[in-house]
Amino acid sequence: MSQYSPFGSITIGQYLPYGSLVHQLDPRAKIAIFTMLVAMVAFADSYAASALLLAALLVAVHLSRTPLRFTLQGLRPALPWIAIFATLQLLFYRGQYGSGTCQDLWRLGSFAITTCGLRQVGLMALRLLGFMLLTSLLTLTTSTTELTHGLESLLSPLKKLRFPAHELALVFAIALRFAPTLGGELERIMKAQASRGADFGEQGRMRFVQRTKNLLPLLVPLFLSALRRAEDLTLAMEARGYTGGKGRTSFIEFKALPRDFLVLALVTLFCLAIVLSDLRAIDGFIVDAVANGAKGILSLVAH
Amino acid sequence: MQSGETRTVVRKIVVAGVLGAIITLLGYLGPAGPGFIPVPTPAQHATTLHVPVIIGAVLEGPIVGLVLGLIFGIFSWFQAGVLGVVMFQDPLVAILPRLFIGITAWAAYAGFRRTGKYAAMILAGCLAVICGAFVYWVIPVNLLLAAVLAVVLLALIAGFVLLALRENREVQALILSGAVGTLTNTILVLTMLVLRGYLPPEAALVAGLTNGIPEVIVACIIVVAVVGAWKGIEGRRKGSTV
Amino acid sequence: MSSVIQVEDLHHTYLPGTPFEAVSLRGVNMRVDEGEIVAIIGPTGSGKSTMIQHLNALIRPQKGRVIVLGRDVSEESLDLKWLRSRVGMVFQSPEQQLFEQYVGDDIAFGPRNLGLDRSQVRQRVRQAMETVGLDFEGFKDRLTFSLSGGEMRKVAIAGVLALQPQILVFDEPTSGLDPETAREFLARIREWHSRQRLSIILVSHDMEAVALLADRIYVIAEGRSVREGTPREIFSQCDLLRGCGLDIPQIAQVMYGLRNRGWTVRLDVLSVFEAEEELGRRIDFARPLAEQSCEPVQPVR
Repeated sequence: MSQYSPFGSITIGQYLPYGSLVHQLDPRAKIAIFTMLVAMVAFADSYAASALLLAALLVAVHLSRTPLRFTLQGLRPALPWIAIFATLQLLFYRGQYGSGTCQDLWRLGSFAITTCGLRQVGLMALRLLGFMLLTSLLTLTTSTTELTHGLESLLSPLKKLRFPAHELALVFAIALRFAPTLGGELERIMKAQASRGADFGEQGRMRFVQRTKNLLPLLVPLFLSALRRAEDLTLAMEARGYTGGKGRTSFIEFKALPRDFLVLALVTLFCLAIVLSDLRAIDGFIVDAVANGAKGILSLVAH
Repeated sequence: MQSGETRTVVRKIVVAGVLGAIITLLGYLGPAGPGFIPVPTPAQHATTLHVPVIIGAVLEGPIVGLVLGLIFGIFSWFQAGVLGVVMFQDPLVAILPRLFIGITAWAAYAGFRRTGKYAAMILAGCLAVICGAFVYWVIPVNLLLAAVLAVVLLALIAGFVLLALRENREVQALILSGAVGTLTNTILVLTMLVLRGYLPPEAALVAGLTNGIPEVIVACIIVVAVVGAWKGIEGRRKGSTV
Repeated sequence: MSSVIQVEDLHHTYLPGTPFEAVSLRGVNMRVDEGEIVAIIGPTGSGKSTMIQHLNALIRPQKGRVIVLGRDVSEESLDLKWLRSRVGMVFQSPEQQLFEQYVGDDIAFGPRNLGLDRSQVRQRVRQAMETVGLDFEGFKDRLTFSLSGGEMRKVAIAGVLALQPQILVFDEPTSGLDPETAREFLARIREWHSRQRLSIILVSHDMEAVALLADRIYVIAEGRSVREGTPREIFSQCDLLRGCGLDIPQIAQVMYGLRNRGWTVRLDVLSVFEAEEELGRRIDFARPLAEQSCEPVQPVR
């Protein structure tokens, strides 16, 4: 693997036109479902709920025919982040879990690994997977155009309040569309500067002003290139007679089919069920069972 | 031909879009990319994700700054969700404070350019008063911390004024907007963290110093370099150093 | 003559194991001798750019070998700074890599990265600027981003030359330049080459440029090196080139046209000057030759 191609694995904003059931769903329904599930994954506070959500997502991934391995590859650039956060959480997590008490597994001075910390890291891993699956599922099965128009359509009731829904949707679309392009640009700039002997490797963190200056050979061309693209795009849009959202009709007209409502209703029910049922109890049950099992095995070994 | 108004609107949309793309890209690349700079404080990394917000606000005004702040906020909220950073999963912490970065950065930039020296004096005065009040508020918490804080803040303001006085007004305005934008981010986020009960005030204070100071410096360097290059603004140094 | 670059059976795949997997190189072989100008031609997406990025270890070989100045670039212990100062890489549209406010500082970026002292840096910047045709005193304190496109490109190239490389790699050096500037630029490359005995690698779509400069040509198609030879050998194989989606220089097309109309003229003509000589000397009206298969391309109106 090349050291200058960390951006090759950017999976945001890429689209695989496979035409599956998930692809064909109305983008507005998809955005609504996505938002709902993001909230569910974010607030899921038990293994059982997370596992249920993950299972549902895996079914959706399967239906969409997008390759799971590819989705998971998007995790790679985030791995250093994740490792750092997992360690911090493990060492410093002091929160309590519900009414349950935390037991020390290991303690050294003020550092301690507790059952609660372990649990937190476990939940984080599940959450991470869930978010990864959700985002790539949405972007791999929905083109940027569909996303933009879907978002605009969902926000359009706000237009009556003079809220610039169309313009905002367009900004998001450009941001999504250009993120991978600028990633490629950054890669080129990095290679060019590396060819001139620039070193972007690790240096002491004491010299962070120097490090910032070392980044200028990357950031200045990156920003300038982005701003130049903006100039070109402005001209191109004007040349084609773009005059803003007012009185604009859309080439793409969404028509919600019964199946869109059906899917939406099913997902809503699923989420409601998870929220209303007390899954923590199941969790406690599982944790107890595992702990008892482990104790049993330990005592067996001891004998 | 279209009216000038349409033209500026189109330009604003597009500039907000591409700068939003930079935020997305730098955030996505994480600490391995150029969006994060290791610093010698417990904060570990100074972020530069708010820099596109400041640059957008300086170039295209407060609305673009607001929209870019929204993109930054959504992104950081989303990332917190992915990484399980509980504090930032709260949109009141992750999104709300970011909306103001562009607005204050623009106000500082435009205000300073319009009124110049007087504004600078008033601003330095305000800054000193705020810092004084801040230090006074810390005294009951920890006397030593308050003393250190007072020295650090004084040195910072003095250094800042000295540095700024040697540059021309345009560069001063850029430095000011970089600093104000960054501080808006740091202070508002930490305030929200305290208000929502995620952090005790003392911890927020320490985090503010360890995060805020390096981030201000980093942001000012980048804002001056980028906007200077784009608008052809020359600084104190006339000519190359070869 | 000793070879400075040797590429053997080089393979490269982008994003292996993803739906975006793309095989870029599937067995490229190449040799560049000291002081040679070698051109690499091939249609868009044939892997030329990927190949040249191996030459200064921006990409390490996945399979196959790349030897540059006697060092294997897949060696872990390779001194990258050394390699990159020996192999100067001028990317397509190099003006986009400029970042310093002043011209002089941007050109000095490379030498400073090499850890040279002030006077050496100054010396190198001056030399590089004079080589590309920028007046040192007149340009070193100009604002980089107020220059014209052509001047910015000169600055960027000076930035690479200031490393004083032994091997110079150009990726599409004339793209985006007007014909006049492009010609001037090619003449300069030729001049540097004869003055400093550089080895030069030229990746280009511009067949006139290639015909003018190259000692040897490699044709790359679909990630393989398909043909190697002197410009005369390569450009007389019109069918092969057309088959790869390439073309021959326009003046050679004229000669093909004449041949097809029964004129016994040489086909391996590389410049207008040579063509003039050939037409003046060797036109034989008596003996029409067999029809050549390569029809000249109709000019676009």
